[in-house]
Amino acid sequence: MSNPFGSMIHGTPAMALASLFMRDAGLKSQKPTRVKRVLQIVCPGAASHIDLWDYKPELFKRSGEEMPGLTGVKTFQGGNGRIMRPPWEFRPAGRSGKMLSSMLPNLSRHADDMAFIHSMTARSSTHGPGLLQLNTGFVLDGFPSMGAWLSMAMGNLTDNLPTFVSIPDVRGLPPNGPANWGSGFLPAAFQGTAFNAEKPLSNMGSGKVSASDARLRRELERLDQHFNASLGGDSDITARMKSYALAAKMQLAAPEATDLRKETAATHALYGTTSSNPLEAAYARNALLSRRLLERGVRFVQLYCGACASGVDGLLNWDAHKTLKADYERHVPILDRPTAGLLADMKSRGLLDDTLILWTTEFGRMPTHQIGAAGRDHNPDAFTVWMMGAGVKGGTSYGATDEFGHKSVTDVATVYDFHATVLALCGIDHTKLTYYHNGAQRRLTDVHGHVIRQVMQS
Amino acid sequence: MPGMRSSMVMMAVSALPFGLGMMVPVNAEQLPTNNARKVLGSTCVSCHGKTNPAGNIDLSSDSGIQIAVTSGRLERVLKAGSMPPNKRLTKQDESALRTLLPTTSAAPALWSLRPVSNPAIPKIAGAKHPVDAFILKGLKAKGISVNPPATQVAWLRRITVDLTGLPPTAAESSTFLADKSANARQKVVDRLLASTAYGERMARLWLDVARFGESHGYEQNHIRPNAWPYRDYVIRSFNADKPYSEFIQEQLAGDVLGKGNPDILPATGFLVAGIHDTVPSQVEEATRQQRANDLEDIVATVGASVMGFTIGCARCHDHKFDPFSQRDFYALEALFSGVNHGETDLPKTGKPLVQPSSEWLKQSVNAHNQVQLLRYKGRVASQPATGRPALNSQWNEESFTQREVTGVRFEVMATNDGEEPCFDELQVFSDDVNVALAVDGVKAVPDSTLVGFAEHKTSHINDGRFGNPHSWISATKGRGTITLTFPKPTKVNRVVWSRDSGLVPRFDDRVPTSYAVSVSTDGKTWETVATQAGRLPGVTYVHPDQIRKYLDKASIDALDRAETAWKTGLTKDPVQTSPSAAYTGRFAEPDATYLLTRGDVMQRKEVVTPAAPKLMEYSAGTCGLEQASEADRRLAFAKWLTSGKHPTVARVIVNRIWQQHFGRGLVAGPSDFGNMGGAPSHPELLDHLATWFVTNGWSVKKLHRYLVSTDAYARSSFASPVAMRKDAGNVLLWRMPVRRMEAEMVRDAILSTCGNLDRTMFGPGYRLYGYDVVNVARFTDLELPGKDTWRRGIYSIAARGVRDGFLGAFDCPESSVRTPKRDATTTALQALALWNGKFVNEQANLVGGKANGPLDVFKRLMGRAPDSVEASVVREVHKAGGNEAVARVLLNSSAFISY
Repeated sequence: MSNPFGSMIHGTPAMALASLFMRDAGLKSQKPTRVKRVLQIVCPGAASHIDLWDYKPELFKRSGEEMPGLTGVKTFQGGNGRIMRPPWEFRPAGRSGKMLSSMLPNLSRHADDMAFIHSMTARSSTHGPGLLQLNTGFVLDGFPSMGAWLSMAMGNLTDNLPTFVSIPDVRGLPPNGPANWGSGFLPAAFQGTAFNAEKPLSNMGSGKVSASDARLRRELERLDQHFNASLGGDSDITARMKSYALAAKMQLAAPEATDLRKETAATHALYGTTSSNPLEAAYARNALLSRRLLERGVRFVQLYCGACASGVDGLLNWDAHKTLKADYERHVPILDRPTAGLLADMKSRGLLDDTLILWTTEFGRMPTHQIGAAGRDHNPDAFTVWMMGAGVKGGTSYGATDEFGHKSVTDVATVYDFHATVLALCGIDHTKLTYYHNGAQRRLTDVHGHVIRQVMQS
Repeated sequence: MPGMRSSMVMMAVSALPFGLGMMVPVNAEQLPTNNARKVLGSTCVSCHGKTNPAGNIDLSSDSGIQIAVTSGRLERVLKAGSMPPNKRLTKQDESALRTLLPTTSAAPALWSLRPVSNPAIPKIAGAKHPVDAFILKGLKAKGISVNPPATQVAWLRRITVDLTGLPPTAAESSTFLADKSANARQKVVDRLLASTAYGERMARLWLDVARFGESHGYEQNHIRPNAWPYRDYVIRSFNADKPYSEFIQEQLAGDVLGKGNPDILPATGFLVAGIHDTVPSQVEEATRQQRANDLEDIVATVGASVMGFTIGCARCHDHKFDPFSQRDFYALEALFSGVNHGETDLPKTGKPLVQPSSEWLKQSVNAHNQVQLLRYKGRVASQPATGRPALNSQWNEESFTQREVTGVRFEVMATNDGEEPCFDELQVFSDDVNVALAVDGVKAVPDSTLVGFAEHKTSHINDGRFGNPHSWISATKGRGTITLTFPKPTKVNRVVWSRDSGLVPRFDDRVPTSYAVSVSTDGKTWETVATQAGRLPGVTYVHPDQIRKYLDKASIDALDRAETAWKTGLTKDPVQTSPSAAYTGRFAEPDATYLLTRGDVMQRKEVVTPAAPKLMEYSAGTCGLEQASEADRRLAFAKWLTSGKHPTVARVIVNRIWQQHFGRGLVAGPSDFGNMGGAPSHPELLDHLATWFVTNGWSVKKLHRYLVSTDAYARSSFASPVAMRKDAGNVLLWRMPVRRMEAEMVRDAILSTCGNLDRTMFGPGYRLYGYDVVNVARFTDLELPGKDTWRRGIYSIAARGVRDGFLGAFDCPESSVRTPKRDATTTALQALALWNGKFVNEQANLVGGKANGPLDVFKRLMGRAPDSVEASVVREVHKAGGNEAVARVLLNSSAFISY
């Protein structure tokens, strides 16, 4: 593991501490873990738990009835109508017989490896803040993303590629855009780099570094060191020097890493990269790109399935306010086969042994339809996420919502708990991964968070 | 955050974690008394409770009470005796509730709504400048010692980039370093403030805040051709040091203040600088929604940019964090509801018009012809050799023996579909040069022209522009005649015509299939030199993407090069454009404005009349808006904002200028002076500056002089370890931060130091992308933009949702949103763009070719002589790769990109 700070011991004391935290001395505070890398799949727009993962027979039985206790309750977009059943049946999946939506035939095959947390709750019912909480722990702008925290804590596995890559959907960036992979007040070196299979990293030069090019880079570094010394070691300049070191290695490695043509036809078929549905094919290419990046040592990959809200609800992401059935018949097939292909591919290559996989969304949806519409409003009181891979106890379902999936009632979990658990799986005590900022020792989990041991292998 | 939750009035907010600064709790004396609370509980809360509160007023929470009070609703219902609906309040209950009403002596709770004070200047030893006294007071309290002054060289770079957006030249450096007079620095500041570059720098700051973009956004996203006069207005205003008060008044009511004055009229472009949906809808709800979105954009922009409040948040409900009611929002909307998107004609000034050079136009025509000739070659190769090439929509030609003529006539007798014939261009060649262009004085006269279509005009016949949007159509089915008259006898030997020869052709209708080409030496007698005889039948269409398969390798390469050259040439609009019109908005007396339940355009409640936000009137006085016309109301509102008594207008702009100079505002959220934007780090200093600014005639240039003459501004950037431990974020200003240049500054600095910056000011901008319109706008990446883009970044046409790869990598914001503070990230992608990008390498090669050895390259790029380490580096680099390599390394260096 190399130190991305190099000679950055002059930075702020806090920064120097942070740099030491996991790298030199700090590494000792990281418990042994199988997790070497993390893949976070993000479905922005609030993918409906009750239509995908959280089976609620009552919704089928009582569809069209008045929802008890909901009279007059206003949600994000206002009033709610009656109970609305999921548009598709649920079917048992895997040895465990876990009930999953029949719209997920491919992902259902991985049910025995998944650990569901069904009792999630969020602090915002607005997409931007909700997604920021999912990714940074806070509903406001300006806080470091989980990928940035983990990049700082775990360091890089390779200098050839960014430590943290975010792969936006071909349709565009998620709500709040790059803040979802920003480094907040952590050094800029830890921010995510965004690119995808349609628009790979540009300015990669010839893909070669000649001897004279290397010599020029050394001289540039000498110049920058000289300048930075005159400033007493400025953290921004230090980060800038680091960015050149990273760039040099990237321009060699990135073109190879992002070249999907190196994959076999069978692999392409597994992901569905040649699907006649161009959106499925585009997401499949991004999924395949994720595997190639993880394989080559990217520490944290964020893979988006969906973009920000459009003028038409539910068109570009999972925000199905008006026409849930039509919207999800568009979105679920984009997600299902490529993601299942990615999981199967990772498993067959042994990558699941040391990769933690997270499927996430910012909050859930109401069991009722919106007044005058056939979609569901936002519901921050209940949603599902799942985990898979290194350290995860597959085939688990933790926590539960009420009989309608309206509110989390059993073992209620927060986004802080989710983050604490991810860090624990990475061998990190979430109360000890801190960074001094404006008078406070900041944490990903703020002052909250309980590790959910039940989803972890003992 | 311990302590933040306790005893705060903003209950609704307490569920949120606070990341930005401190909340300011409401004054204790404004909390409801027990008696009032009892009355509310027994009388009001049954309807106005937590669950589904009537009228969205929740009187069970302190925040709800505050809103009921501050929005004036409570006062109204008490006056009218209208609540509770079914009984009368007792006298005691009413007087208990009246204790809640604001009295003239009760200052608003939020710090920023209180009047601007003029605090005493702290007596601090060593502080010569009032601003330094306030800063040193804060530092002393924390026991932090300040940095020593920066070097002359560092200071010159700092002030020059800060005030002009351009780095200092070597000549400027040596003049300054040689000036040993006591006021040497002041002379530099005066020179920079007097430079035209100053207005361009300041305009970037304001246009970010004003969400100025030059396309409409939404689905169609067409370029707005006459948006730029507003940009020019902003540049000119800063350069003229127009008082900020006037600057604001003109932007809100320039149509009244500047009647007949083309220098002021573009100012209201501010109101309509945002996005606007150009797709009309037949559905009433959608149409209302579009209008509501436009108005929200205007209200929210005036709110955030001028007043520093996120008033746009109150469109659907009372503001969640700040004391603004939904009614405040609609009262402002009513004020601006006479503003519509659109352009207006400007009065003729007789000033020289901005014209494209004919040289540029000819280059563009030539680039087009290179492509179409190669495509034609492929198209011909795709056909059997049994006759002359079939006609097509992109390029047809007839050659004849060269002769000297005064006129050429093209007569159409039939078209392929029987419709009126269409020409996007009629070219006449003398060997390889088109001699028929209108810019050379050639007159094109058709026998008829289809009327009513902007894209089909007589003037398009020989305008040198191609594609359907620049074509002519006759008014006669199947027939039409064009006569070209040359200003003097001209040698010609070939005629070329096309119907749709744009980059990507879309039309192959209206193609002449029976025609005669004639020439004349006297304009009276005509000799026919060509007809369609012998051509293969039909009109062939081969898509440009398919043409390559009919070409040999050399022709394919030539076509690739030609297409790139053409696309690059498309970056500037050749026919533009006198400032005869500007996107100023159009003004009309509005219909009534309704308060909308939850912002739903179909749920109209009562009519709302124009008014200023109520809570601001405590400090600023009443904003009477009883004027006769909507324009006069806007003017009255603008004058009320800029009377000097408004609580935030001056505070907001001095904070923006502070942020410009010190990297961080005294208030961290420069467009949010509410509870979420954070309280000021130096509240007394902020008020001192606001008062000083108004007293000094709202002069922005004076304010710059005042701020940059402080010791604080002159400090070194050294990261002193002791001070870093106490205040790593430099909130208390013990050092000057070293800053990375903003996106446009990086590009401007590269162009200017490499000697290639075109300093042409004003007028239509340039595009860093390819652009064409097929119902919706399409934007394409350019490999390497051409020379006409070598102007300052402020003249780059920012299209919504389109971010240039280079500028975007350096955090150039998306112009759909207001950007009060730019990010300054550091990424490997920036390094790759600077190290490998074509633009940087092109410029490095250009300056390398001109420079006289490595030290000269250094002097040009860094604007000064190198020190010993720098000299040793550039000599080493020179050995490895010559001048060009030296330039490339320096353009990548942190010293270059920082200031």
